[in-house]
Amino acid sequence: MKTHILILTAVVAAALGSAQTVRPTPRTADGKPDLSGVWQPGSDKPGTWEEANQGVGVAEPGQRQVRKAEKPSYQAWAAAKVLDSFNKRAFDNPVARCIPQLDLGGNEGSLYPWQFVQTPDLIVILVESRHVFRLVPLNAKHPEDLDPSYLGDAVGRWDGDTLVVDVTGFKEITTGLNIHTDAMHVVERFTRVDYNTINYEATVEDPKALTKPWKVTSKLMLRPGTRLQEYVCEENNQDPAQMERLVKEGVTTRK
Amino acid sequence: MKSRLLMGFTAALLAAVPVLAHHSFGAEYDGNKPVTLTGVVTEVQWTNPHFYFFIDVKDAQGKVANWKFEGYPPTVLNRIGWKRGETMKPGDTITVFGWRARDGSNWAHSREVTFANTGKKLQSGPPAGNGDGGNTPPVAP
Repeated sequence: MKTHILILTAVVAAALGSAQTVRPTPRTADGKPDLSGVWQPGSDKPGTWEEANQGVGVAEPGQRQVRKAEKPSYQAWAAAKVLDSFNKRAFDNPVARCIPQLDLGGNEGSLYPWQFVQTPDLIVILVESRHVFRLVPLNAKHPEDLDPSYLGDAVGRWDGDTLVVDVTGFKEITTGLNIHTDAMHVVERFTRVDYNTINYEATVEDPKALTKPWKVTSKLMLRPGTRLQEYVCEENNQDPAQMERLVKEGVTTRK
Repeated sequence: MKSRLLMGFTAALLAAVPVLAHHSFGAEYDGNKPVTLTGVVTEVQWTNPHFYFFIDVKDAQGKVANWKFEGYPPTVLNRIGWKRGETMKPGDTITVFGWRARDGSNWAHSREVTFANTGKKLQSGPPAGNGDGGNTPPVAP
């Protein structure tokens, strides 16, 4: 009897488990995939933040990375800039001055959640780190009077069940290890393949700085119960002063 | 201590892994210089973009030095079991593992804190990742 109960329990648990894995993509009233929710980029583990992350989910060195990015093929002038920054250990990374950058698929090591707010005409992506909001109007055109910005101007459209986001109008960034010109053009593709998972792809082209486009793939995992919090980067940012001093002392120069 | 040293050594071996542990971690800290220190907390700055805490560390001769440690921002700490004003307070004795700053001063980047009163361990900062700045420049050959 005891054995039967055990077997029955195992069968029910397995059925529940498989039901969980095939839980379908939710849809909005207009039939589109519903991307609403709080997501952790750069992860492939389902569950709450606590369940999915040992600590906070930053991969230890040598661990498998969910986010995979090609190395950009820079034109000579751009490669020289990146190598110069590399040889100074990226002390000039704009992020250290609280400057936001377009985070393609969770480049920040999955530390910070994103939240999607979806309406039929507009999708808003909120990013906790550095208080970024991204507005993605659907079936709209980029404005003609674009003022270049750090995160660029985004417009979206549905390609079947995939949200395609076209981003242009970037400010030129020529310090640090991730440089680009105002000609950068990014196309991101978000596909909610099941209840827990959004597959992410991005293609980056920049005819003024690159010799060919480069690609990123990643995943976003739904994080029930996680809420975005305030993150005011300017509050106590000691890095610029520290780095200025270290550069003067010559300790950041790669030997 | 041995496992800590080993961890630091492993981090150094795998330094080319493209983890953005801390913006420009390698400019300020040296992933090849792991450090483990025990001391008494003197101050906690629960602030963005990083939290800082300070501990008094006594050497074998009884001489006290104040060390500064950097770690995750409060938003991240809140998600991994820390509570402002409760988890770490001035007067608490803690053991910290991290990596030293490049300038050789009493300053380091923290990875894990062990609390003497409970024995509990909590992560306090990211892994060194490309701790020495990485061995490979992020440019396609």
